[in-house]
Amino acid sequence: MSGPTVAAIALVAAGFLLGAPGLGLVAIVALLVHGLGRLTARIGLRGVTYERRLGRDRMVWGDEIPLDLVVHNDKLLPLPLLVAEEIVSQGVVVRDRDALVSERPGWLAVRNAWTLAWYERVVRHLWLVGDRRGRFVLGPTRITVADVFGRDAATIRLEREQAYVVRPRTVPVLERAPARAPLGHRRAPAGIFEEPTLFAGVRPYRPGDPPRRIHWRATARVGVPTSKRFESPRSREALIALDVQTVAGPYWRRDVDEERLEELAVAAASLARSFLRDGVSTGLAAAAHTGRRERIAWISPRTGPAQLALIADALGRMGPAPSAPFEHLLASVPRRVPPGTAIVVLTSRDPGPWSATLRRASAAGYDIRLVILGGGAGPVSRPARRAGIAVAVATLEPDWRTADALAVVG
Amino acid sequence: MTSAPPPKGRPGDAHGPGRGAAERASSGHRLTDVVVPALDAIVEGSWIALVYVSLQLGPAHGAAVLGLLAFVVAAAVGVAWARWADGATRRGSPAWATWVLALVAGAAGWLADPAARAALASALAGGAAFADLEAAISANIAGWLLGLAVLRGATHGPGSLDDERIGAMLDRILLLAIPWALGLAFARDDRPAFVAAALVATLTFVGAALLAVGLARLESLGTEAGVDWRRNRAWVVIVGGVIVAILVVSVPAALLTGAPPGTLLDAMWAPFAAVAGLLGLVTAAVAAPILGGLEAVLRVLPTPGPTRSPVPIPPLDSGAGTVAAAQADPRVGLTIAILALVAISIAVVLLVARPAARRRRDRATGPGPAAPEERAIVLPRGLLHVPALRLRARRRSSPTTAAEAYLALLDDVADDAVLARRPNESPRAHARRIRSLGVLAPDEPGSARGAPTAVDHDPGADLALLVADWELARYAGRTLSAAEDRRGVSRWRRLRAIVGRGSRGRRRTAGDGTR
Repeated sequence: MSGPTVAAIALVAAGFLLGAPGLGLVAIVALLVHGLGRLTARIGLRGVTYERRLGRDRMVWGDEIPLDLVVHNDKLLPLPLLVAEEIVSQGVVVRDRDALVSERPGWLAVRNAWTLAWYERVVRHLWLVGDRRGRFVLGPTRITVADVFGRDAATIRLEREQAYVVRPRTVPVLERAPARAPLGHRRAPAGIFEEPTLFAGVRPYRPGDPPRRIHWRATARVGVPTSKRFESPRSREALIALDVQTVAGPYWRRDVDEERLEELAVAAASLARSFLRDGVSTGLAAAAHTGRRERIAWISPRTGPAQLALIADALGRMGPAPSAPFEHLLASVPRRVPPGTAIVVLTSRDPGPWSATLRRASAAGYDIRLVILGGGAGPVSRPARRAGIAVAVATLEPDWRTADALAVVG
Repeated sequence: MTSAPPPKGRPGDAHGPGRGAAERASSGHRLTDVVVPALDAIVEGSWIALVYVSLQLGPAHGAAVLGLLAFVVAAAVGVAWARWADGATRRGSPAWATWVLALVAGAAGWLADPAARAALASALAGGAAFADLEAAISANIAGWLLGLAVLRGATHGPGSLDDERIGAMLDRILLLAIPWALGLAFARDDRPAFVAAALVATLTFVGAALLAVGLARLESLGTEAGVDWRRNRAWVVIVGGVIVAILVVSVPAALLTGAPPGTLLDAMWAPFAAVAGLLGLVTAAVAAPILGGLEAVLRVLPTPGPTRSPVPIPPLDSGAGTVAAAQADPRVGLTIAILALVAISIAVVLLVARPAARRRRDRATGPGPAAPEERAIVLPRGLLHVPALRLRARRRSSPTTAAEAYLALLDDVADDAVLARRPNESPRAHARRIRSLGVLAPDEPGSARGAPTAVDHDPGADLALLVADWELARYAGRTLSAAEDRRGVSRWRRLRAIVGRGSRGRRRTAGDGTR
């Protein structure tokens, strides 16, 4: 029994013995108020369940995903006030909710409160806004039950965490000089070299198709002349090597030009989408942490609908600072992809320190394409051009948030 | 160039792009801006009033000329001063000005007693100056507590944490026993008066403090947590109910200790009286210029001349022959003019004030922080069992068509865990399972030979045909003929006799097994 309770009981007794109604009244009220708090503290959290439901765990920048908070008071005692404080990583934006400074350094807090009747279950619908690219974490959660007068009575901490990724936006790629193919070779609609054992499907008959190419069964089924398609014996591959270092100097300084980094992410995602749409097996390499143990973000070149999602996820998870020198990444690429692969180096800074690496890769049979992001990249690109590397300049105008295309001039 | 700066500020500060929600929500807090400070003033005023009566009627053995309302008003002045000064200067109220205000209030409280005023006047006039001054000081010495009320009220500025402050006061509620003990120990003849006044102050303190702390806490959470007490009827009901319950429990308990019932009744009304007094003061402050203007208008209006009041017509047989001219009362015209002016004023006020009030209400309840919610009462399964049985019992017990016969058969086997149709079972699969169980075998040992079950009809075929009837009626939309319906009902009767017997047997067996 706590000190105030003992004092209150003593006062009640004194009030009765001395015939002092005021003493008794004060003590009884104190006992009731104190007892109500104790009761709420003891059984307030009993039968309370809290659940956080994310509609999806991925979204594109500028998009929103539903977040449902489900709280259930599965007992007879109503809860005047239940506060759920979600500890969230920086950058989490909940629509119509303030993010508060959390007690955990570097993290934020989002509070929600309810009044719950007996056996009441409430689902609150909120929306997470993809305000910036990255991987964001929700949780842990601190649940506090307050008594009817708003005083915190009991607290529990739920350690369950959930994460979601905000992918960079993608825009169409506009090549101003397509004849020079600054971004590498496109996959031809009908390859010169076709592997007749790699049947790839059918397409409408075109004048000039040899009769043996006609798919007679499909023609009979659909009622129009239909020809077979075959895979190329060696499809084109491209690897986007992304230089996430945006400020000149040693990589370990970890200085970041955030706007430029976002531009790089948007440009990389847009290029990947463009390549994949053209049927090019596309991969990604970046010297950045993506929430995994590896220091290098690596997506092997592949085609297929899932590949763009993989690349966009990696770009979304990518941290702001480089994890290794870009030269090291470039030097490791020949060990991972075969010669003949087009390596599209996407950077926003002077390629001077690693132009020798690019030359060596080019000499080894790789198709090196340097894409420098930024309007003022002309002087920067000259040394690379002199070194015999194909250079293109890409721009997102007016900025990465509102640009409607990635303009590439080679 | 940035390097991801960590968020700065103390826990709970708004941060990030969601800040607009707080700004939107704050626009709708006008009512709270009045209610919470008013409750703060009542809380501060009531405990100081308790100390006042305990000192004045106890050790000082004087008269308690200041009531609870005076201290509440003084505290309200302090609160209003602090909030106004903060809004005007953005640096809070200057300390010296607050002290001057408190000094003036204390002096006013001291001199509220006529005896103190008289003694002071006598001291100022000369004569036995020291004796008079001593008498003046001792006459209403506790009146200076009015200044303390102002000082305490001034601590409730807009930046103050009302919920924490009032919560801390509530936690120290037992300290109220000190003035109670003081008053009871020293108030000899004035003990009933002390008990009456102290009880009123105590109950007012408790009621207002409980309400204020809950309201302030909820308000502080409201902007960022999506709780708006104006929309949260459940919370208001719970808080109101608990406060009433506490008072209902504690007041009779105090009655047992000897408090006079009249005093308790007064105590119950005291919080309402305090609020009404505050409202009256505000109303008077607003109404005074309006009434002044009304008076000026009335002066300008032409005063109606004396009218003749009607004189009773004398009876014809009186022989007078003359009818007196009617004379009107001069006050009638004035009354009509006043009523007309009041009506016009009310109409003008309604026309002007109502749209403004509606706009304010729309702002307050408009796009605030409230997110869409779904609320449902989810009772435990045990509580739902009985209603489910009742619902099933509503179905007709005596079917008239083949389809009804099939449903009746389902009802008959619903309580049998083996024979009941499962949720994922089609009618045909259900029938197949029952037939495979063997419970419909015509030569089942112990079957009633007199029943028309096993002799002419195969129960398995009966069930299959009944299911087929149901499928035709339910899924094929066919209307069965009267003969088919009759046959269906007959099949149900036969099957019912068999499954009822089987179910009873299984229940018996299960009962034996559990013993």
